[in-house]
Amino acid sequence: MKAIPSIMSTVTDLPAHHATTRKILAAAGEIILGKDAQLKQALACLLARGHLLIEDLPGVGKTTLAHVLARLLGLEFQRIQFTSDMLPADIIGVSVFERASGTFQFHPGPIFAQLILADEVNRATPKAQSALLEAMEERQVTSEGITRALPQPFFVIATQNPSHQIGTFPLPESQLDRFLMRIELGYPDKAAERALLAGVDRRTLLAGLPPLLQANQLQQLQDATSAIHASPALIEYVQALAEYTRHSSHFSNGLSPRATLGLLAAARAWALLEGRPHVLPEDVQAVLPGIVAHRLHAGGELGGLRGDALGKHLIEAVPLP
Amino acid sequence: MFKRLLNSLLKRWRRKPAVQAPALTLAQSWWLFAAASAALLPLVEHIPLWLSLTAATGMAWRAWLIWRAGRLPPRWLLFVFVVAACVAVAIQYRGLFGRNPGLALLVIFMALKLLELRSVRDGITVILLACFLLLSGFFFNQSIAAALMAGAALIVVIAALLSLQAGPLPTPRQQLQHSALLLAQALPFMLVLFVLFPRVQGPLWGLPQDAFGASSGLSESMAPGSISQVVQSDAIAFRVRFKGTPPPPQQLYWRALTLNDYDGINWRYRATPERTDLPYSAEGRSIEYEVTLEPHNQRWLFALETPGQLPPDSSFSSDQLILANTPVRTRLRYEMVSYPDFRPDAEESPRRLREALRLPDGVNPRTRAVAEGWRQQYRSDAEILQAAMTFFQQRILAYTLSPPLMRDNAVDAFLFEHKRGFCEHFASAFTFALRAAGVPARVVGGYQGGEINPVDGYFTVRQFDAHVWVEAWIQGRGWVRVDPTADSAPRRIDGGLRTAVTGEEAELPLLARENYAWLREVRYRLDAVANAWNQSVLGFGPQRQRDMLSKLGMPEPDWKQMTAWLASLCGVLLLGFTLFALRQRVRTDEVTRLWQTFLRRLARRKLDLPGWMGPDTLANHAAAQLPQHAKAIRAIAASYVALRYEHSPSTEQLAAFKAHIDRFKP
Amino acid sequence: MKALLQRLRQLLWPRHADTPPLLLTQRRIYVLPTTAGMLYASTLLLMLVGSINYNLSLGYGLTFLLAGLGVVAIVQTFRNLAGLQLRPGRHAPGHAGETVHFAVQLEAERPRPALRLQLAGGPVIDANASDSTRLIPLAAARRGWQSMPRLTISTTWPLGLVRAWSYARFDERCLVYPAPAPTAPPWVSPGGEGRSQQSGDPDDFFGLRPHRQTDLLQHVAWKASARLEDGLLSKQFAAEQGEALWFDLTHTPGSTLEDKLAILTRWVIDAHAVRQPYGLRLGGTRIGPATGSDHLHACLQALALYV
Repeated sequence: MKAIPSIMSTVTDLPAHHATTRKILAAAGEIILGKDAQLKQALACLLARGHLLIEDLPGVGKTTLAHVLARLLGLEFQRIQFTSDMLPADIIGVSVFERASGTFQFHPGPIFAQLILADEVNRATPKAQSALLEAMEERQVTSEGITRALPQPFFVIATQNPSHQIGTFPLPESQLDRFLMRIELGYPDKAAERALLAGVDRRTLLAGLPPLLQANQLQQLQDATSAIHASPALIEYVQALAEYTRHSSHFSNGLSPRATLGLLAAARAWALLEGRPHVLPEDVQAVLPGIVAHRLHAGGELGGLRGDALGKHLIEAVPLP
Repeated sequence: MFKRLLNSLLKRWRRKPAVQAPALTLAQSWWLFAAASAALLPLVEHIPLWLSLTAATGMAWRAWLIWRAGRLPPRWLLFVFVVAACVAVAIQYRGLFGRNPGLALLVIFMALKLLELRSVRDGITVILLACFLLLSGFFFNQSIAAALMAGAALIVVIAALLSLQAGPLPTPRQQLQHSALLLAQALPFMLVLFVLFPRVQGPLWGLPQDAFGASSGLSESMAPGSISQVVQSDAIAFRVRFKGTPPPPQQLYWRALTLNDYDGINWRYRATPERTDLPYSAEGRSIEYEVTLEPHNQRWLFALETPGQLPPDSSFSSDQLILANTPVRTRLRYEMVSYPDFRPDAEESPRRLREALRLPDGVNPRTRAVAEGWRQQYRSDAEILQAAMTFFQQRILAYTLSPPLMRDNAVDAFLFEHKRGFCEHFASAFTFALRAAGVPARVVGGYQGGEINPVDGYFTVRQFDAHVWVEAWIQGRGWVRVDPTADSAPRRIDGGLRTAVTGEEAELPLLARENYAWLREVRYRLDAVANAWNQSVLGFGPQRQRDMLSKLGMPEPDWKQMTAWLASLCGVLLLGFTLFALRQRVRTDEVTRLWQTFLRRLARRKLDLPGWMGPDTLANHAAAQLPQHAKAIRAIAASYVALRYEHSPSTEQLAAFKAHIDRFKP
Repeated sequence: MKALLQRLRQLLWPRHADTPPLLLTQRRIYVLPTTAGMLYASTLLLMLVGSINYNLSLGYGLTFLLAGLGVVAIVQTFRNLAGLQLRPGRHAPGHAGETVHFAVQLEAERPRPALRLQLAGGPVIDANASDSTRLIPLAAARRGWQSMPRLTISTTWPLGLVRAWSYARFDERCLVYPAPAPTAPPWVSPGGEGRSQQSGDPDDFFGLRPHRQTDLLQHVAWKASARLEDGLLSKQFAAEQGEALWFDLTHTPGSTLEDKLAILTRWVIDAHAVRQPYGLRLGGTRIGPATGSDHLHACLQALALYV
């Protein structure tokens, strides 16, 4: 009961938070055309303190999306291009022996930033991948026995080329689970593409983008997100969804408890983006496809169903309790 | 070629059946062992010792085998045992057929079956054998205690049956509880069946001779000491309920049999011609009562003098005995009416009178001399009778429970030497004296007195109330009852055995002693319970069933009606029980229930609203399909969302929600 | 008459599949006495005759109590099934000649001990409703889809006198992979594709880096480390990134299609076992090279369904 006053205070701030998020989405929508839904999902993912995996063909704007978010949220940005010859040290940093001082000096790697764009993670070897993924999970890195905390907040937006391309190492399932959401951007629709072609270069626009958030405002937004109320009935619904995936013959594996927690957190974020102090089943349904797309695999009858279609099937298979 | 065929056939024959019943686990073995023990234990006191020991050996062997996980004995060995046991039973009982040898065989089979317990199917056999053994225990004892013991044993047996099912492995205590619970559920069915199952008077076929063991009580011959044997027992002979006030104790002579033939030592019963109706119609003051007779395996029924009617299935002998057509082997209840002041017309055949004078030669010369002196002195038989009574009073004979042993010339020894005796000495001597004096006389056996149980008002007559007295034939008066014991020990008649014997209390049955008042109080209560048990449970036969059902408003109940009632009552019970067992506890809160109502009302309009839709989505869909109700639908959905998903919905919201839904009738 | 029989059969053994979740309602459950139950009934009859014959009131009582117990057994056994919910679960594929497992999820609001499950033609397995999902084995004969036969769920609990059972027909199927060939010739790459000679050795020396606690002792570069004043250096090796094998049906030895598929299955399984990336080409189907169990199952599925 003691926690309630603080929760109430954040809930009363809700309209302000809602307005902020709307501003961010509007500004981002100016640059990334025709991708409002994906932008909203990406923002929800960040508000839920989750990492984002974008899987799509090269050139559809994955990097721009990451850039825009980093800019608007006022986050320190680093981009890591993953290659097959990459070593963990290239990500985490390395201690270099300096003859002058006679000691090892740690040179932090690119991971020490607030928003990381890990480009084409599936190009790197599993060893390099796992260095990144461990950092994502622990929000700290360990090198030569010394644990170093990563900056706060810490987000990873990883992009991945569609698998089955030669020379790639698709992320293993256990690693995929560490991404809260997986989204696809897809080709822009006709109107968006026309605007894109006719408009100014995105990079120029990006450069002129002012940050919309103050130093710890993102933190506040995240706190507000976790204060969104999820009623017992709603938790029951989330449970029913997870339960279904765990037993149904239509899936070859079930949702992990981490995925269930993530689903609820993302639904809270979605409710905040909708300006609502409580979560509705509709919020869960809105974020669910992104949450399950990289976690569930169709089995048996649904064989071949992938991505959002799988999420849609799940939603329609589980009645509200 | 042939050899090969033969071999393959043999092989096939030797091969175990393809489907093998699952083997028993250790726990199951112990349970079956417990079930067998529970079923066998109550029988130990009723079967020969060697049989108990054999069974105990088999059980111990089995216990050892379970304990040590040893191998079961080979089948041929068991076969040898079975044959040996059958031979032993045949020798013990002179045959293999009948109730007792059958029971003995059952006991042996049970013990040996335990030794070849291999599969669950064998376990079932043990359970069913145990049920049979529990039933056979009732051959010997149907008391409340026996019923309770059988009930306890049944709980163990059914727990063993439960253990045969592969299920969760509960503790023994849970297993017993489960068994008791199932049996408790079976109780209503048992009650209905017990009351309504059309009863048939057994036996269905001729019963083996040994069906009824020796019952204590009077027998057809009286030797010195035989009655004093009987009075050592406080078993109940019969119970009486008087319709009015009970007569005083000195009138309670329960006449049963006459002993006519005397050989110098024993008095013996001699059968006399029987008729099926009374040779007189009695009148005058009457006593109405109902007798519940414990089975005594004899034909005679007890009544006060002079019986005014015959119970069903009985006849009346020339000795004025009431004889059942068959020996009484189950508890028998009959109505009686007696006319104490009525004497039937004094007529007796000369042959019978001659028989009532017969005495062996050369015994008891001193008594004979005294009696012959009376004959010469007095003219009438009545005077001789009076003289005999005076003589007996003058001898100052003592009434004792432990008379000295009198073998030869027992009457002389009693009257002239020891002067101490029990009622059989008195009656024997008195009859001898009368016969020697030429007065026809006979010994009459029965019970005298009884005791009223203040708890339920039943009069209880016990074995220690057994008594013999004398009847003398006086011309013009008929057979006259004379009780020589009453003259010497009048308190025997007025106050029962307890008061008649002084200083010999240690020899009396415990319950007959006077200073154990509290014990008697307890006994009265126990008796009342036992009597109620006898009357309503054990005595529930065809007659009693008809009476009860008529009282319950089933006029002229026949088996068809009973079966119909039985079927319908059992059906109702079964239905109720099934509904009770299958009830599903679906507890939904009010909000959900109201929402369901709303969804049902929408469904009536055949809207396509799948169950996965969230309330907002659903409201939008429904509103699109029913535009005229759009406002109401949205309002309902909004309140539902508030009640179900908001942080702290108020009670007013619930009321509003309810009102919305009540008003919503698309 | 024939139509009536047809109708009756429809009513008793409906042809159409059940839609999950299947709730075992009163109408779906059949009850009959077991052999033990028959024996029990005959024993009761004997006991009744004995009670009548010897006028044993308590004998009647005992007999009727046991008869009541029989009725209780019927209801309780029935109750053990009634209200149970069945839902097909995640079936476990298997190879032809082995067993596939159909999964059924049992749900009940109270414990249901001693249930038995059996697929038509398969063995009987024990279950109870607290097991969330039971796998019911069934011998798989041929590769391809194996549809789920009729499921019998039965129980004799608690007393074993009565058997209650019900049927469930789910429109489910489970994949049967081809039986792997017991031995297979090594894969010979036809022409350019296949395993290239120079790569794929995971033991190739790759470089040096500071030693970490988790590194193997034999990977320590002692000579290089000696030059340091403190600390150690570890050798680094190229991670297992050998070039993928491409298994192709057209280049598979074997006289019949089934033989070829069996050999391909063996190759796929063996490659998976040593974590060797592999791809599969089956006529028009092409599965890019990868590792992992998902990939294995995708390849086996393609092999199972290839016509």
